[in-house]
Amino acid sequence: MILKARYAALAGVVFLVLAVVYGLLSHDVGGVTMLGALGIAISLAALVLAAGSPRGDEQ
Amino acid sequence: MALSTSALAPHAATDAHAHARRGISNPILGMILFIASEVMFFAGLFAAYFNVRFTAAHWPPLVNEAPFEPFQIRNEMVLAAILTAVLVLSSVTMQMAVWAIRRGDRTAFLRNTGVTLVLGLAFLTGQVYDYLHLGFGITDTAFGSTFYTLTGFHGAHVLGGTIMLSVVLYRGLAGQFSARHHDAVEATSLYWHFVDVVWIVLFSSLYLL
Repeated sequence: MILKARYAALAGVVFLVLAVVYGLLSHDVGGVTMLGALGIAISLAALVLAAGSPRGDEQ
Repeated sequence: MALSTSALAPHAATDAHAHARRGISNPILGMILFIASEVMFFAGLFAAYFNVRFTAAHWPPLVNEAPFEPFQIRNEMVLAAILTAVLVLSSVTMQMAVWAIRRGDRTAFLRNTGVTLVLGLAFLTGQVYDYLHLGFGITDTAFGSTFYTLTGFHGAHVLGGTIMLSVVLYRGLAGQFSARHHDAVEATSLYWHFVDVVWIVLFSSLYLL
């Protein structure tokens, strides 16, 4: 299975959605900040790890 | 000589094949993962600031049950706005340096890297000047603590960035970068853009929000 880097970056969107839901339910800005940043960090990590792996279409 | 050339040929072909399969260089991969961890580091600081700010009865906090004039930093944001412009401009020159080395223009690369370094040092100088004239310290309520913690850690990152830029400039002057080999320049530019983005969020949170 070929894993496209841009699709891997979508992994972080889960936490961004979670941040929105958490913010609506709790009104805790600090928690929303942490969850939002976690989403960005996971997107970055997933993007670079997927892009950094050998290209699947050459195997 | 001919023997050694033919002996090297298979290795060269293998290296070229390995290079073609490589998705991203190790320095850039490492830098982006480092930036991902830095996102969480600053998120912790911002979360603490927002938590203190939005749970406080008064913001900035009262001192002796009265507003404390030095805390009204919004009224004196000219210097901070200038520093923001300096840092944004430095990101532009950094990117111009990257574009220059990508097309092999070493003169433009060195010039833009030098300007970026000077702008970074100007930012740090301005921040030190700001600290000397603020009128409150890190122990003056939660406002002072969060303000100095956020801006101080950011300033430390700018200092780290200027050190990286100095190394890049030194290596550039020594002729170590070319259109094909400049991963350190790309990695440094990513870090510098990240530091710039953090400052924009920081400036917006502290002075505008």
